[in-house]
Amino acid sequence: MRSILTAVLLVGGLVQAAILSPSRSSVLVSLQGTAGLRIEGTTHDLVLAEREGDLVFQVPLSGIDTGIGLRNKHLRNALEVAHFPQAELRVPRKSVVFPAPGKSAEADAQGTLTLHGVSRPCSVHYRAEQGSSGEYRVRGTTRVDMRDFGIETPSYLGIHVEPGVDVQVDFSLRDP
Amino acid sequence: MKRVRWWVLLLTWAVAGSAHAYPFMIRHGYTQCATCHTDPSGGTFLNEYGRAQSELLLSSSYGGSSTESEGDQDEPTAGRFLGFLPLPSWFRPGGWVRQGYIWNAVDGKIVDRRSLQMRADLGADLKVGPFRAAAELGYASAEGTPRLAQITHSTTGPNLVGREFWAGVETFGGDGLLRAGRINVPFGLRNLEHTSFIRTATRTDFNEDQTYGVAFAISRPRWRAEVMAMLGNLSVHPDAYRERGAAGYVELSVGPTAAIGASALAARAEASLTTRKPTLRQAYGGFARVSPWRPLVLQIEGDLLLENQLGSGIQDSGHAEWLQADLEPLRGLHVFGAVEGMKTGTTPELQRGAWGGLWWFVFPHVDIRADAVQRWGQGPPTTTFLVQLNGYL
Repeated sequence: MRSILTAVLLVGGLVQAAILSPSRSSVLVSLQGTAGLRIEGTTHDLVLAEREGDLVFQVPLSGIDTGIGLRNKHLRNALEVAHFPQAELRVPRKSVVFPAPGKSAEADAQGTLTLHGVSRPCSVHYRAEQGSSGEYRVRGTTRVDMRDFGIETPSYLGIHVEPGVDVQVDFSLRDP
Repeated sequence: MKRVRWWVLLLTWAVAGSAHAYPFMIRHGYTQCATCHTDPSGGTFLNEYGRAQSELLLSSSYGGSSTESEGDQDEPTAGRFLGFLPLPSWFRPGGWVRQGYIWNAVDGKIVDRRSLQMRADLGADLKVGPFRAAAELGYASAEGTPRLAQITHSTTGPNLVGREFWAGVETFGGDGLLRAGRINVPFGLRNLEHTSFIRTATRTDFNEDQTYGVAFAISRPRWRAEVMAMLGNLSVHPDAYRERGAAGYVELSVGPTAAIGASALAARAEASLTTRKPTLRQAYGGFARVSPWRPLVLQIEGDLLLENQLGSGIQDSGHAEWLQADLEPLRGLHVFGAVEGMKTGTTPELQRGAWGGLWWFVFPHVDIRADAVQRWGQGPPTTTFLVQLNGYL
């Protein structure tokens, strides 16, 4: 069952509206490695909730697909998905600016990312745009260092990946 | 009879020899060659990761999921030498055997058919700290000798051939490689179809067109490049025929499965192989690889050809083009087709060609391939049918 969440829309002054759970979601993680290797993994599973004044984004990690089954398995092992099945980002709702219809907003928001059982402060750059139909299209990006979360940098058959991981999240929200 | 012999010679030249690189691996997001190959611009030796990918991505899967990302794949055995032997990371052996059977037809009539020994090479790549070296040595039958790569020079019997051997040092944390020796000329697509017009017109096929020189290559996540100072092919005698100059390319990744590049080559010889006059040969071109849909990869290259006969004021210009589609409906099974064109100073008529065939990567490190090549524009139309079995370590 899709949960319906509420949020406050801040447009110039404080304009309130409710937010549905996200649609058209895409989470893209990009890694770089030895000799120009670039790995991209995607999942479309994204859950958004509001708790205690925070917007809480959750991504089940088992669904990330890198295009190769064995590589997916290695990723799940590196992230210890059996013990830490999801990544969670909490951002104070009041720190997020929502644009007026036909307008866009772009800013940085400070939050807390929990990954591999470790929570760290995290800065997210986002851009939100509200269409005339009331739908918001949002893109958020951040970069995390897997070592900060106690994740061992993967290495496989002589190929190493760098500890820095770029994360890009796209989703849509619609007024009820 | 003499005319038939000439056509046989031409057609033999058109398909003989073999080596391999798979630019279509871009469909899996591998825009870089150095991830799997010890040559940063692709081809020949595979590193351990590359051997594993040949099992995971390249060859047919039996009884498993049809797509690479479905299900949990087992650890590949092909990452190990001969499928079972773990090797030290500093030692990467290689071996290649390619055998074919060819039929050549001129104006619809078969004029030649025979077995074709295409490749029988052994080699090794060493990596000790930042130091690298690679060498391969092969046997070539009298008819199959790639003349520009021969080490011995029998005109009637088999020969030893050495396509590449070089030593170098890694730079930029392993992303760069500075090396010297006999090296593949960095230019355009490193496509397997080494007899395609783009490869023969630019003399950059990697069956035999390697040359001696110093090269620097770098592979970054969003681009790769290699430049080479060409010091002459020592398999060519006398020295006056050896080309000296420079060549290079740069390729940018414009997405996970799309890349676009540009190449340039300028080389001077005291005596051209065709005119025997002092000649400056230049080639400039662009190329691209794109996989808009995972089963499909398109490759395109277009090159401008310039040849100046030094001191005479004579300049010939021409061009060569290639458009190839590779469709992989089932993992390991490829259906491919290509169209090509070429016009050069020595062959002023526009030559056209069409390629089609099937390619099946039956098991890891074993593939079979069937080609049909039709060409027009230089005398009567020619048709070549070639089936080949390839095995590599």
